[in-house]
Amino acid sequence: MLEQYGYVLVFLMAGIVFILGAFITGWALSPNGLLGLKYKYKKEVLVDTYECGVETYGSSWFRFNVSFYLYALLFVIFDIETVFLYPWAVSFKALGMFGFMEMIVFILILLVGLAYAWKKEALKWE
Amino acid sequence: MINYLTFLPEIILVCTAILILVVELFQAPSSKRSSIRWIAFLGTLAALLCLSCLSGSCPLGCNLTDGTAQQAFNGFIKTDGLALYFKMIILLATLFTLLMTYRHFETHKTPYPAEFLAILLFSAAGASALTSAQEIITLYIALETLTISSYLLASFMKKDKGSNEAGMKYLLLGAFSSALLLFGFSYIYGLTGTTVITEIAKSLAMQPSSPLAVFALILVVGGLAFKISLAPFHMWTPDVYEGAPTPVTAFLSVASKTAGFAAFVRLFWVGLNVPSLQPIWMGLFAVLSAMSIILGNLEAIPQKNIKRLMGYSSIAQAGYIATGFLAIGPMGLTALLFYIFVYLFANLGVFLTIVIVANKTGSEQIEDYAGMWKRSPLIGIVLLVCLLSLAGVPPFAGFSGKWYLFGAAISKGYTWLALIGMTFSVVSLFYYLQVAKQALVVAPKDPSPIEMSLLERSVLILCVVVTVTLGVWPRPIMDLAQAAASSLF
Repeated sequence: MLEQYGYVLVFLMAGIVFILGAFITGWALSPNGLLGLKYKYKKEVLVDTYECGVETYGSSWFRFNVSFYLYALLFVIFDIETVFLYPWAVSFKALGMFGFMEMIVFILILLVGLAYAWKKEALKWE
Repeated sequence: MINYLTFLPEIILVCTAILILVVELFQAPSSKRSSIRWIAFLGTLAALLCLSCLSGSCPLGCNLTDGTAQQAFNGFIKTDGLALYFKMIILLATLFTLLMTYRHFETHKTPYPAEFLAILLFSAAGASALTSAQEIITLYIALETLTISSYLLASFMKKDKGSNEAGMKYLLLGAFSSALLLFGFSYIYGLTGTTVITEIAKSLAMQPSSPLAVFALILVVGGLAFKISLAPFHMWTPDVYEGAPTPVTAFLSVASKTAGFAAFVRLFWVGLNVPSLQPIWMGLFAVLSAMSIILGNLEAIPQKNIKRLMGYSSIAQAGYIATGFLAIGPMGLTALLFYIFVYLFANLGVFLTIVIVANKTGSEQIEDYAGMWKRSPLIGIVLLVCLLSLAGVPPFAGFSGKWYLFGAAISKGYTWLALIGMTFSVVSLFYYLQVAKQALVVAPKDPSPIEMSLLERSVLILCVVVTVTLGVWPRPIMDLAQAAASSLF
């Protein structure tokens, strides 16, 4: 019983070492760090969110179009449908006709939902 | 195979709700939308009829079972007599709510009538499923179906400040209490390794009392007490009851509370009824019950808004019902079930008059009930009879209900609690009679009569008849309640 916690201990140690390692590496590579690498930075680059990649612009504190919310909601519903469909497909033979009918009912309910959203013009972008 | 009969009422309710949404899609926006109202009404009626078929006493003779309890999902859902009785109360409350909805939305226009009806039916389905849950995850999911729908219903009037406030407060406090409940459930599962309520009882009986079990118990009591608004977890009730659309308030005050008590009975009388824990939750409940009776009645006195008054009154009523809950045994359960039935008719009678009056006068202030007797004699009678029944005055059903409740409490040694209940019933008479006084004695400011439809008239008369009849002749419902209680003992 108790020795099973050994795994937890190993994972804990590995986690601590990993984090400390990341800190030490970061410190070592930094301009005033262990390796003493002196880079020349521009001031504006220093305050950037990301040092590389596409340059960011604007603030992240702005209003989103509320239509995104409806799309996200519909996406989540069909996402969940897929999550259910995978295990069902794997054990399709074992579940037999009963499982098939159950899934048909489930998908029908979701289809009604989609028809509802469609008719209520939730899918229309304005 | 799954036995679909066990949750046929819920299937009917959910299918009706979906049907309403689909039918409304193909209606012209200008149509009067009476078809969806009829679908909702007939669907709920069908579910109610289905209950009697499940109990083996269908008036049409289509008995689905031989009257024995039906199980499904390995016994996770069991539709026994107790569940059927609770379902009956919930479906009756839903029918009342539908009736109020039609009147309420005449003046309070909403662009989403179909959605309101559908969410109401989903909510009823959740409450109904909760009563037959034999397992804590099923119980929790049913409870969330009920409460999440209720948050939507409470905040349904989008442009109305009060409704938004009600929805927001209900959502925040409801979510918090759900979290408490779930936290408690997780500890119970951790201690027992099972989620089935009867197995929890077996497992807990074998282990010594642990502080963790007590902690879990307190969390579960707190979480569920929020839902039935027992003091000190009642803070949301007045605001939500005042702000929510009146039909929703009526639904919350009866259906939601009934479902909460069903969960309490299943969880505590079956699952946590073990010698090591029983005295602790009995003590907790005695305190909660006494506090609800005292605070609910005292805070109701200065109220000016009738919905707010009914909110505080419902806190006190929950306290009375909780005294029956303390008397573990067939006697206490019968009293509890009987009182919920009485409470249903008295409370919903009052709420129906609130909707009708507000439809005419646009006011929910008690002072605007002046002279209701002259404006509509029936409303005057309903207010008098139903409010006196809620207060527990002798010829009416509330008296016999309280008689059984306090009798059951005294037989288990809770004399002090029964005394508090009786004393504060007298206190409650003060604020109930103030409304009745406005309606019956004070001269009306505006003597124009208040008209109502034939259906509303007959339902109001039904409320009065039931309330008076059960006061002098409680036998029929007592028999029904006894039969329901016998499924647990």
